[in-house]
Amino acid sequence: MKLFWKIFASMFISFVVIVSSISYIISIRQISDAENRIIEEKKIMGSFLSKEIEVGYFESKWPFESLRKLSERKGFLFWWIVRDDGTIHLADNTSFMKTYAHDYFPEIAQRLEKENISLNRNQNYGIFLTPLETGPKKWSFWFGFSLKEVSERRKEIIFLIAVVSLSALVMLGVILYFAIKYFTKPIQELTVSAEAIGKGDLTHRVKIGSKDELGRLAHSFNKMTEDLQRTTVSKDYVDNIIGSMRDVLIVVDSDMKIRTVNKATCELLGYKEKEIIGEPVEIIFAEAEILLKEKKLDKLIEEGEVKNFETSFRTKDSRNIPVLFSSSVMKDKDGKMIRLVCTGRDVTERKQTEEALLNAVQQWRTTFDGISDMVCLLDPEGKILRCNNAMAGLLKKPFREIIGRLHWEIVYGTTAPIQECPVMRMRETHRRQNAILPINDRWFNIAVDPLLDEAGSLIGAVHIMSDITDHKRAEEALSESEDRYRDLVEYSQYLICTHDLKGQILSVNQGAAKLLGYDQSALLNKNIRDLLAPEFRDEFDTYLDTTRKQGFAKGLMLLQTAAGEKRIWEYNNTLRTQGVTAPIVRAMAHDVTEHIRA
Amino acid sequence: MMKTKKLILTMLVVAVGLSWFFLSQVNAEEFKLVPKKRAMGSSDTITGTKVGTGWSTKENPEEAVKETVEMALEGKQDKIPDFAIIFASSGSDLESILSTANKLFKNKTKIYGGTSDSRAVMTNKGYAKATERAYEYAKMEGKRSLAMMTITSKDIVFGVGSANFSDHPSVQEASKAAILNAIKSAGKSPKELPQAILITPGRGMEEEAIEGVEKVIGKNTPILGGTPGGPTFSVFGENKVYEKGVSLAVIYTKFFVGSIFEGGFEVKDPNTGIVTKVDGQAIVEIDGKPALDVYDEWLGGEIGKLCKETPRFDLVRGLLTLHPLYRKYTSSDGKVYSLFSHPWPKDKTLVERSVSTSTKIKVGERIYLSHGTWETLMNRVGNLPKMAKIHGKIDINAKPIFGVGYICAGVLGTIPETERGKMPLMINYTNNDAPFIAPFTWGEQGYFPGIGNKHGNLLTSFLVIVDKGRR
Repeated sequence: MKLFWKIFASMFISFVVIVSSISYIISIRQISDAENRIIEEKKIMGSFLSKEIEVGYFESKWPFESLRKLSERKGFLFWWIVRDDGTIHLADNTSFMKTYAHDYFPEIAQRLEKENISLNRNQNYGIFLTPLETGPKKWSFWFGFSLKEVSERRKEIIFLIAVVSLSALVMLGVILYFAIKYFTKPIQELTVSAEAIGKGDLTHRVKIGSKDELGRLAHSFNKMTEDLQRTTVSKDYVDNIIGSMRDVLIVVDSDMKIRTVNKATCELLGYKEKEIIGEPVEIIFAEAEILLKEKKLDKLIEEGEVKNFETSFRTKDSRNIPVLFSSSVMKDKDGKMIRLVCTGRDVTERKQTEEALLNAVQQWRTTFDGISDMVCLLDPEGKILRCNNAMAGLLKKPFREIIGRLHWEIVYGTTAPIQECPVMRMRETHRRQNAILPINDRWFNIAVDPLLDEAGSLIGAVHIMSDITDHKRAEEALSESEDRYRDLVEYSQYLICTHDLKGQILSVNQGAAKLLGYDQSALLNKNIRDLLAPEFRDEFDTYLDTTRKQGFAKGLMLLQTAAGEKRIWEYNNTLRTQGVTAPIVRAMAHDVTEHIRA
Repeated sequence: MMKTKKLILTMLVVAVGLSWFFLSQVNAEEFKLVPKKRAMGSSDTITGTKVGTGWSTKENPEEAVKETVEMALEGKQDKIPDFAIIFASSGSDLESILSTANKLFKNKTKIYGGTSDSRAVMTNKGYAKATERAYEYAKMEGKRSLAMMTITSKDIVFGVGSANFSDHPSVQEASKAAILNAIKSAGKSPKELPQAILITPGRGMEEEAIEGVEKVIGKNTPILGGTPGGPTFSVFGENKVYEKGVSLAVIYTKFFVGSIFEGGFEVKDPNTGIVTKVDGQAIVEIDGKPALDVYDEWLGGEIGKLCKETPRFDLVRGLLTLHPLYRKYTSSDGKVYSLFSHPWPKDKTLVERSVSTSTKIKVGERIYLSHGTWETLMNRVGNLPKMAKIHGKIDINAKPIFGVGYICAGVLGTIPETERGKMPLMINYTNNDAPFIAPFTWGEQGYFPGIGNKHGNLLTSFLVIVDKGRR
């Protein structure tokens, strides 16, 4: 129950009791006063009339007028003049005359000795009874009056007091409500402030202007808050830190139930905060034997902390998440564990990266070893850092004898770099350097690529040795064969040349140039059309067209030598479209002038 | 917080509930007292005289008579009384009543009586109310009441006589004939004087009727009677009903007879005057001045105040009823008797300033102003038997055999309606619960010892016959 309601209830109940008591006393007093007033009034009237009756009795003159006036008064019930034998001699209502008074009020009829008033509050009547001084005959005067007026007055008083009391209570209730609210407002302010400060809002201040005890309390409170603000990291600040933590933070109670989690925990494990708070800490661990149980826990408590323990958390949807788990123990002054503060870092990405890296290394290694060329990595000094299987095979040495050795010792078998060594040139140029060098009885094409850092400094080199012995030998054989064929063509008596589809000579053998009386080089810039006898030059287009369409052309053509001699040449040309950027015509012709003339 | 609110609300509800409870506990009902059965009087038979009274308010005259007779003769062996006094409220069918009574009594009973005021008749058994209002207003209501007293006695002899005034040369002669018939009816000779005479003379002829009777019986025999009550007037004859006639009865008995004839008004007012002009029963002038003006002067201008804006006849009549005129009669032994006259304005518009009375006041007579209240009149009615006994020198505690009274209807009119029922009970007390009958009359006749019989208004006369207890 709030303080406000405690004060309100106690004061209101007190007021209810007080108001009720006062109301009761007042009502009793009022009712009694009203009754007494009526009784007194009736008594006076009865006494007065009884005297009048007594006088009238002796004169045989009853005071009918006065009695009639009495009958007309409010609250009147009856009047009787009763004989000594109890017979009603006179009455306001004739029907009662000559009946017996004691038949109506037997108890009252016994009280004839002296003047008295009998009241019957239940039936709302009162009776004034007085003996009349009528000599030896004791007549009496009865005057009945209604207490309805008293009852009505009682009802009015009860109603009035009830209304007034209820109104007073309601008003008091309202006044109390606002008064207590007003007076307890500083306390509420203090409460609100305490709650705010409790939640870490150290900027909150109590707004109380009064100079009473509460004002002083508020002032002290504000002062305390200011001091706290100066000396304490606010809860919001901590909350922000915890909230912004990417790592999981879990605070575990001494009964190993989760007490606090941060936002990252909920996001990582897929729980809502209220789902996980109060649950056993085991639910977040993937392994059955978790770190925070039994001996492991005892050890943790003893050592006080565990750092970067690789384990896995289990999410709400039963996925395992690898984490680096750390925990530290909060202890009380007796050294008893009160809290475990656990953190976990999600290392899924790192694991994936590591695996990818391992795969890459493996793939590289496989690739590296799969290369038929001999490859090795050199440091800037030329020491071999790594080499592939081909290298090891070439050198016929195990890796351990290769790795760490200077490359020239291993590759060239020298104690110093050889002059042609491309590594040396690469170190100077920081560019790729090639060299074809014979090593032992084989030829190698050696290519060295520099490895540079971001600053362009040499941090190593890739040294690749390709065995080109076979290629070298084939090249030499090809060169020899080509030389033979070139000589054969060059010095052939046939015209062997190539021209484009416009007739421009692209190549021509030396023997033909000599036959046509031209220098070989002079022919290379000539068009076949220009070598034709002028009268045949127009047919050259037909020749080109035929060659282009049919892919070949053969026939005779009349050439004119440099000396102006016209010679008949038989040609058999084919169109080459494969392996060339533009179609060319392979032309082979020989001088058939003699034969034709012959 | 909710608990506290509930607690407070509960307290408020309890407070309201308690208030309601206390309020509901207060009984504000008026106390009602229901009358018990009234104790009846003692036996009506005294020394061989059987007296009974009965009454009815049935409108059918035959039924009313039957009911009345049954009541009167209840418990009596002899169903045909010697004598019956019958008074019916004005407007009743007296002929039917008379014929029915004669039929029931087989024409053997001597019947005397006439009409009472329209408002009621009275016996020892109660006030038999008929109409609410009197005079001409009573005709509109049309209610009736009937009262009867039956007497069978070997000790009292009754004779009845009647006369229709129109059958005789004068009222006096008619009355004389009636009294002679009555004496004869009693089996007596005119030389044998009755102990009392009951008379019901036609209205306006009362003095003449008394005069006629006194011619036979002299002035020393009490004549008590009352003018028939109105607004319509009738008297019983032997077999007929007379509107203007006289009905009388003579009583011969060895028992003691006491009677009273008095007004009960205060007679100390000094205002007095000589009647200087009359017109029949109306006083035209007093001391040479218009009678009503003189009256108004005596009353301190009360009449003028009542009629300040418009003439109010009824109010003036009511006022004058309680301030009647009277004449004084002094007996040879020096006793002064007051004979009251009921005054009222002769002219309803009050323009003509004469004052009517129901008596024949003569020019030269001195008249006086008296005062009364309904209270004094009521007390007077209640004390009539007692006063009759006193005047008859009879022990006031002696129980009469019966009583016959005549009470002025004007007196009745002054008594509040609710108080009228007390009268028979008050009479019963002083009459020792003896049977009596008393019509309300429009004029009363009675006896002033040493002076003779007189007619007046606003008077009461009462006769008692007592078998023992003579002082």
